Amino acid sequence: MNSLRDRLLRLTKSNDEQRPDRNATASDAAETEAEGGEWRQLEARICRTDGGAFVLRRRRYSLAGRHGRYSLGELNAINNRMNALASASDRPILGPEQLLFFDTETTGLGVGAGNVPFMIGCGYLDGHEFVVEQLFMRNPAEEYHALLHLGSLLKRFSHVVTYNGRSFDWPVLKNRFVLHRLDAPEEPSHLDFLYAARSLWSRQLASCKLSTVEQQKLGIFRGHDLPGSEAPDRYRQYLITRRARDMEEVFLHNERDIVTLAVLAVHFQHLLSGTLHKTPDIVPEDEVRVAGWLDKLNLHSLAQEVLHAALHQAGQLKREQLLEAAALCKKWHDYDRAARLWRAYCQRSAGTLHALEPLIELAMYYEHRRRDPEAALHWSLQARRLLERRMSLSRRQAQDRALLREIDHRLDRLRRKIDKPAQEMMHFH
Amino acid sequence: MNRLTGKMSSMDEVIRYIRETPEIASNITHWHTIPAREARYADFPPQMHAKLQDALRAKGIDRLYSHQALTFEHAMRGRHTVTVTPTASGKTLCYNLPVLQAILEDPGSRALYMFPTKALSQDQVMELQETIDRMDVDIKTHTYDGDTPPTVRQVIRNAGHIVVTNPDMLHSAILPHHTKWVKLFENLKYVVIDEVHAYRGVFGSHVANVIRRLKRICRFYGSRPQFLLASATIANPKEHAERLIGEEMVLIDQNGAPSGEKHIIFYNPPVVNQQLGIRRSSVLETQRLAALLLNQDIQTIVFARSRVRVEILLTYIRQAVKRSIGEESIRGYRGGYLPKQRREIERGLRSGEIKGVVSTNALELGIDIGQLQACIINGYPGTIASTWQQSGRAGRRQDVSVTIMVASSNPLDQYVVQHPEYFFGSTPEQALIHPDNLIILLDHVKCAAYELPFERGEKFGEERLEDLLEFLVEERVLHQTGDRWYWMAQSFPANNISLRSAAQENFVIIDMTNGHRVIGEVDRFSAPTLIHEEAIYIHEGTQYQVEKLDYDEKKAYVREVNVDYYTDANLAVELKVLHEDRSSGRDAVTKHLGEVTVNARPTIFKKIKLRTHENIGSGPIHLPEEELHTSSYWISFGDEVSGKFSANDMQFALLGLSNVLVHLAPLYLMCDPFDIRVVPQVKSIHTHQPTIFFYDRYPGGIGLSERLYELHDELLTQAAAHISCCSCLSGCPACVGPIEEVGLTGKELALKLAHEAVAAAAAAHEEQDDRLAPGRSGSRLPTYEWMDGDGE
Ligand SMILES: [Zn+2]
Repeated sequence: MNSLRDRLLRLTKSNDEQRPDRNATASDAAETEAEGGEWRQLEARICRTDGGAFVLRRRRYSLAGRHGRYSLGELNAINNRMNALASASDRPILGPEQLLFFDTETTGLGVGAGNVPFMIGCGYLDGHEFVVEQLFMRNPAEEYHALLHLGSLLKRFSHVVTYNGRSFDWPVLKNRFVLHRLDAPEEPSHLDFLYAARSLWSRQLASCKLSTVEQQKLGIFRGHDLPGSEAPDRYRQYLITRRARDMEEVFLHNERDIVTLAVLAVHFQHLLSGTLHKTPDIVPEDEVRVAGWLDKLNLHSLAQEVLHAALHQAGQLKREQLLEAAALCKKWHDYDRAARLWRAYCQRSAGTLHALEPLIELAMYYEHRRRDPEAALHWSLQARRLLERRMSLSRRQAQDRALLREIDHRLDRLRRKIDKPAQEMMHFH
Repeated sequence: MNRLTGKMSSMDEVIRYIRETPEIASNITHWHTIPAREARYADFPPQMHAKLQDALRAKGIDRLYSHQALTFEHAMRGRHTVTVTPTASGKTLCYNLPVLQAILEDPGSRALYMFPTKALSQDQVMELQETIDRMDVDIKTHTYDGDTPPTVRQVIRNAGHIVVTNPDMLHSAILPHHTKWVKLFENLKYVVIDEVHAYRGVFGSHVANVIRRLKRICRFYGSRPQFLLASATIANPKEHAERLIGEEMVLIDQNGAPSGEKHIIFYNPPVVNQQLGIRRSSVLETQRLAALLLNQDIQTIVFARSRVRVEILLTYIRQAVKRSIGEESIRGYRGGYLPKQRREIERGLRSGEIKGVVSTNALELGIDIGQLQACIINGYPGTIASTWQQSGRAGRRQDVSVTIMVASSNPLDQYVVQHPEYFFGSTPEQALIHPDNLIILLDHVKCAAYELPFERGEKFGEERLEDLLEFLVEERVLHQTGDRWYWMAQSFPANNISLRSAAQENFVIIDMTNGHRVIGEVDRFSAPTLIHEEAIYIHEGTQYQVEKLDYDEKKAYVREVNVDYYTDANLAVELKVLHEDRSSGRDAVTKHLGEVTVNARPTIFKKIKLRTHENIGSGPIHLPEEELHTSSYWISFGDEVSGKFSANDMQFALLGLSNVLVHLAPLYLMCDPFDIRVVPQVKSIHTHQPTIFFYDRYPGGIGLSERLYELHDELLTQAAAHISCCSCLSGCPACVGPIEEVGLTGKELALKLAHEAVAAAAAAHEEQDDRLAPGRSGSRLPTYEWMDGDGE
């Protein structure tokens, strides 16, 4: 009897009987022939290096195959427009062969020293094929050799494409290099698609998870797929059972994530090139957001192009989108177009308790841009009426009272402006 | 004295006034004068960098105090040092000099400073920065704590020469992310740890493990930092530092700083009820004494033990000085005040604008408020070390200063105020830590594994590491591959492990009679018996009934009542011995050390009529049971002793003696009174004898029982002395407990039992001395190396 163990059991109140059989845990015995066979069934192999080994799974995709709305062949369209999404501006993207797509599966959360990426998935274009390469550690001791392999792979690419990789996968990987006292690879330029996805779709989609985005925006339906959050448990189970097939679903999940990342790159390339209309199934409501997103990326002329195209079918836009579009036009000093949109909004909202902002914008527009105090007066009075109605129904009035004072102030000014010419006339008589 | 204004002209006159005014002087139990002391200087050590010397000269320092020079020299020789100095003795230079020297010599060098609290770190950065500015060099000092903004963190990680932090940050933010601190860990030359006496008990045991982790990470990056420590006066600074750091230390305890004459006065409020041993309120006495000093324009600091006390005293003192110096010149200071407000008070104290401050121990540690003239301590702070630190706040270099310690009626205070020799003799206070407490150790093994895989043959603590690792493998927290153990759980272990024990949380008592008003606090362990629902809680002489106890929120809502009974709760405590590690003594009285399980559950309360003490009702208490596995020390009385008592008498004797012993124990342990608990059993299941059990109030124990086991003889001797010295007639709360609890003969019986135990101990010693006569000394040294090794 180990009395230290007994004390630990007592103090931690662990129940000895419910604990796993200590001997059932498979040891890390030298790999067997059978094991190699198991990996071959997953289309993986044991990759031996100087003094070590890890599992490498390599899958090649033809560029012709379709994945939802796109084919991987469209990756070849990627050009310097993609720079708009890159974290470093000093390394231009000239073509798709510079991009390494990657995604890791880790044992835990956070970017502390104890979070281990047990699977590192990479994807890249190789001539007429798209290659997915997955590095897997059968135990943590294999990490060193997997990292060496990854390090040399990384050297071939100037950009890494990830989903949240800039603040998660990459720092976690960097930790691993430090922990093995290896020279950490140079910080690449990041194309972290999570940022772009959030600014485009956070208000539209229930979540910006990759699986949601691929369904809603790329038309990819995976069918059965292991949720990413279950991958760590699968790995812990594998460490006990040592059965390669326990990892099968994790390999598949990771592989699909890599492919989706590539397809998402195709989608973004379209958005950034203004070739949106060439993409099938695009819905007009996207275009306003895309314009706003392009504008934020400082691609102003493209943004305008996209917006104007969307406004051809303004009737299909939702009310809120009219406002978004108007705000963009205002930002571009295209006041007339903005005013048309505000008016359209007001017309469509007549009789409802709608936003006050377009009424005030219109009042400002007519007072200052068009120097038409009477029209301005009209919109100010509309604004006042709406505000009064709102105040009669709502409780948070302090803010509204301030607004009311502002409107009244404007009304006074406008009335003076309107009366003034009249007074001048009287002098003549 | 100026007859017109009533103002005295000097501190000397105030002291004379205190001495000669009978209503004050009659309550003084002891008056201790420490004569002024000349400084002992040393020249700048020759190897000290010229820039450093110039910077010191620019500040008006052209030589060092002897202890500063000595620390510097030991540090230069590559030793780990612990410097013990009182407040205001230029302690910070002891560690700043070697650190700055190292960075001046090699700008790549790094240092890590650790202070127990955030407030202290910020003060340190300011002071260090001043010296650095004077040298006109590019040395970057940064505080790294919870308030550091993320953008600045990045800069500190890469470029901070000196990183100032606290153990909690090191534990949960720096070590688990060490890969982001490569520069620091590769070049770490010094680790500075100030206030090491504060790292004791559970907290200290955790910190010792954080340091084990720190050293492990340093080894990984190839650095081997030197540790420079500073401590207040305790009995075991070197031993404590060595346990904390796990390295051999050099002790520097010859203080070279000068000091003015110092008067330390023990003041015991007069007895107002001899029978029950009730004394006048220490709060009112403190108010009077503070007003006396403040009205003479003497800048005074008043220390109180709790936040609530601070507020009460502040109100009282302000009232008393309203007419003379104005309410605004008296301020409060405690945790919960905003940082800006605190800085303002600190400035006001330094400039003299603020005349008086009432503070919790928040001002006991090295925050710079300059030196004041007088200090009044309301209630014994709990340890000698704290008392000296608080007292150190008064005393300018050349001036006379005075400290008055006003005892409250609690037993520890009464013991200290009546036994000044305990206080002024060589301190018996040991900072105790038990870094190998299994729960604490296991927690940090997890954190360490998260930070870096363990390798076979590695050492972490004194327990067998491989057994611990194997246990964690079974728990599926670690995974073993070959000779390494890897973290494999999904969680981030440091998040679930707090270095500071939750035991310090108190219950707040809220009076709802007129609105909501906080009137007091009760510690967590007394709450079930003192403030259960329907309990009568007495505060400052007023009765309140508890209407609602919110156990989760730690709040008791009370309302003022006027009833003719008090309540007394029964706590069912079940204690079982799991394992006996050691024992010694003869048949009459034996002492034991081992492991126990304690189950405590409040059961019912009784309503007891005042004066007649008849039981006039009862009710149930619905509160959760607590279970605890911990270490225990127990004293058993054999037939030879128990034969001299009737069963009934023995019960009272045990109870009375337990009460005294448990009150005295903290004097030796530097712990909170509630960290060590006692359970008397008339016939113990384990020993079949009358037995008094002590246990550590922390799972797994933190070394308190073990220390008491060693102190057995002295503890009993002191108990006997204390009972016979107490001024009460037949027992009071300051000695064996109130008569209601121990009966009319309780005091007598407890004393008889204590004498028996002392006699037995003496006899046992004689025997032992006979047996071990020649060739063996130091028989009091613990011998657990071989006694503990039973087959583990
Ligand atoms: Zn007494």
